[in-house]
Amino acid sequence: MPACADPVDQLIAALASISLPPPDLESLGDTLRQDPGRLSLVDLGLDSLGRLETCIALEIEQGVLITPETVAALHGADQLLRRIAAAPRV
Amino acid sequence: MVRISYCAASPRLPGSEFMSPLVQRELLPIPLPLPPGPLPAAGWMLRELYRLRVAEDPRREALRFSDHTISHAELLERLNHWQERAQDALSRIGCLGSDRLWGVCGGDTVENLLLTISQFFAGRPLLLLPLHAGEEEWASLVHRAGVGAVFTDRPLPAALGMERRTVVEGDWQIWTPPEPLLCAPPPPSPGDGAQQVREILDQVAGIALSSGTTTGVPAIQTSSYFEALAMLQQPEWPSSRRMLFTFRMQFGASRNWALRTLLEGATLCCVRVSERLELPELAGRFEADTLPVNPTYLEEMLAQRLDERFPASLVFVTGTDRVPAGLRRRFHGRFGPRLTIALANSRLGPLTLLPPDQLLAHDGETVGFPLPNVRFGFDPETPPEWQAQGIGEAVVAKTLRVRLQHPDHGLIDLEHTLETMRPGDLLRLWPDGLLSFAGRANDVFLFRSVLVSPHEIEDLLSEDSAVQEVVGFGAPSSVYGAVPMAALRLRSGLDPEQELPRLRRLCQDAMGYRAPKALIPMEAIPRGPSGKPLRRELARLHALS
Repeated sequence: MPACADPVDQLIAALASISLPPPDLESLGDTLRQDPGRLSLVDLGLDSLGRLETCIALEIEQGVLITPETVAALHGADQLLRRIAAAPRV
Repeated sequence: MVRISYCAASPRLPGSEFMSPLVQRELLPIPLPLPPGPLPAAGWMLRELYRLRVAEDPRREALRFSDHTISHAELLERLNHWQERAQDALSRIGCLGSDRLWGVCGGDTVENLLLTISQFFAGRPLLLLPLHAGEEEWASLVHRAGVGAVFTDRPLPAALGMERRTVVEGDWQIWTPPEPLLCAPPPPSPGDGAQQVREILDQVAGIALSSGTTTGVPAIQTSSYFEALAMLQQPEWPSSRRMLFTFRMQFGASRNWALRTLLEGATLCCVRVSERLELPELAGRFEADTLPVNPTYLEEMLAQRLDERFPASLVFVTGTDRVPAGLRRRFHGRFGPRLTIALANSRLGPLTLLPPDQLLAHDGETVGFPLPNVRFGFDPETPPEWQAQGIGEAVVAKTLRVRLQHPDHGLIDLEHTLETMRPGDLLRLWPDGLLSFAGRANDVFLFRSVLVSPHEIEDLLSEDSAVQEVVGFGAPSSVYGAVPMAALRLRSGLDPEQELPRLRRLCQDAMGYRAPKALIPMEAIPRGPSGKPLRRELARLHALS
């Protein structure tokens, strides 16, 4: 899968590749662009295993280095997107 | 090379009776009669055992090497010739002892094999150098193993630090280090006959190089005359089988194996490295009823419908640790109960045997019952959750016996147990005594706190019709331990962009979050010299942060 430049695209691509992706990724992407503060990590389907798989997908497919422990300390999707944007790249 | 044992072929297709004598009863050695007087050298005992076998049927075909065919009687004569020529050459340079390790460095020729066997009979411990290795590899091997002299049919590189000393015959020469040779034979030790025989047989007979596919480092392993003599006295395959054994001179380990097979009195058919091998035709020509094959060849047989070209009564033996369950089911569906499996170790030979009619027992994961002289144990440090399932890293003890009949000392019965060998396999013991393969101890990896076997990934993906070949591995990661991945080769004409997402979803549905996180399409899977996939190399290439 080609790497994306935009944090929202990167997160949506990673969520698409986990075992239990959240439903309706397209509308989720729209919400993430318009008002990401409305969404919690639970809304993204990121339980402990989801966080693990999403972080691995971000690293392997998007070159974004972020750990499940870092994500676990976050609350909202807006925080996650900021972290992704600021994360070191492979 | 083809191996055919002595006895006539069984007219029946094998069922549970196939190899059952080996599984159920003690393996007893055939006593070797010794001459009166001092105990002979170990090489003499091997040669004598072979001579007795030749006497049973001297005209039986022994060796077919490309266009050459040699009977056992002729082979013995030619071995005597090579032994004499070597002895003459060694006399000229004042080196007649057997206290140093000899390298054999030759080409893809019958003389290479003959010289090797003659020196085995002469009691010289041998390191067989691989045919196509580079000069650096030869030098490294010679120095690591401590080779003190070399029989060679070509000039040796300067890096070996040796010089030509004399000619044996034709192109064959002896090369040694420049310093004077001191070859004093070891003094005879006092003690009874059994003790003396023990000392004689404990000498190193051969050195082999393991491929190091799983460890990453090729290892030098030694074997003793005891092992050689015991294995010849206790054949590990039923003598009723006429086994066709393919062989090429390429690697030292396979030459060692061929040498042993030949001394068992078999007929060997060597195939030049450059020659194509047509197994169905060879199997028919030699009227073999048993054929050793590897799992890759089993796949080829299914893909190319080779079953129509093999004799209907032929049974296939795979001396490997693992034949995937899916492959077994497909093979059984096409061929019926015609595959037997042995858990094999390059040092110890076969450890278990699985009769063909049990091919699918326990979901097709078993490697068979232990041979009667093999004792399996499990590493006591195996995690409790594995132990609860009967799974552990195998620790193997194989007992070998040698039995000699001496006019002065009477029956000399010796036993030697190769203890605590670890073949590197995870096995499961079932209540009925069958052992299952549960993964390679070195290949299994921890993804976070979860144990993942690459074989689980491979079994799943290899069942899919789009997948030609797949190798699972754990890509090292400082955050996750190792991340499950798979390198795969799709069947030709398929579009990776369409197939990979589908295969990814297939894995996720079956394995959940333990599914491979990357499916990496490759033109060719990297493999070691023995054909095993190089998981470590794949893991290194795809390591995460």
